[in-house]
Amino acid sequence: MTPPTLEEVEDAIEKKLDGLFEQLSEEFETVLNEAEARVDVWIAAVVSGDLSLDEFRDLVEGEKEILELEVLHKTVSAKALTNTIKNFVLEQIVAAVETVLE
Amino acid sequence: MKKPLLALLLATGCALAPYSQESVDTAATLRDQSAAVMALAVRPFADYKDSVALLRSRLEAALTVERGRPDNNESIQQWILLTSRSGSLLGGFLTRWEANGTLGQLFVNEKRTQVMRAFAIIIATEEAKR
Repeated sequence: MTPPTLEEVEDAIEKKLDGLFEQLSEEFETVLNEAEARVDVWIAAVVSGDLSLDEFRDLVEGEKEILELEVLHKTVSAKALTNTIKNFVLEQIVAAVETVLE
Repeated sequence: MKKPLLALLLATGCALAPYSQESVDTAATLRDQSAAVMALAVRPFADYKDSVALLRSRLEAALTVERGRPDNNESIQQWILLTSRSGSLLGGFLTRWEANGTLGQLFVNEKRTQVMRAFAIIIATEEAKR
């Protein structure tokens, strides 16, 4: 089996990264839309007296902290993906060298 | 023009703590215990201060374990956000309960949902290290 060329490996990486950025963008958009819907419910609860303004502020702060958790999660996912790609590239290089040596 | 991408990838060090099943199990157990304790916050804090103290000590122990793992900065930051007494997730909720004596049902329900989501993200973060 012929190992892929460097260009082919780079194309594969670019495709994978493009897919990741697209997925991240969609996921964050969903998270923000859901947060917006929750804030609307809380505003109605403040108006009806079921939530105090202070409780409302704390819930909104909680949403911001959850977003921070999400960003940290995506950072770990991106690092794991980078490591996977890096290992793949190194395997391809080793395979290419072995082919030349044979 | 693609060469820099490959060079950057090979040169970049992405140190990541190895996956820990123990961390996932601890988070899942604390999630369930936290949900149970939070549900009590519509009642007087004084009646449950021992349960809260126990939960706080377990959360601190979990954070200590996470701090002891190498290359684990993101998870440590997540646990700090979750447990900070001056924050707006679990730690802040327990502080508020202690300060106010009791909390409203809607606030407890909504905050509990937030805290459960926070635990789910922490667990997913650990799973991503597999």
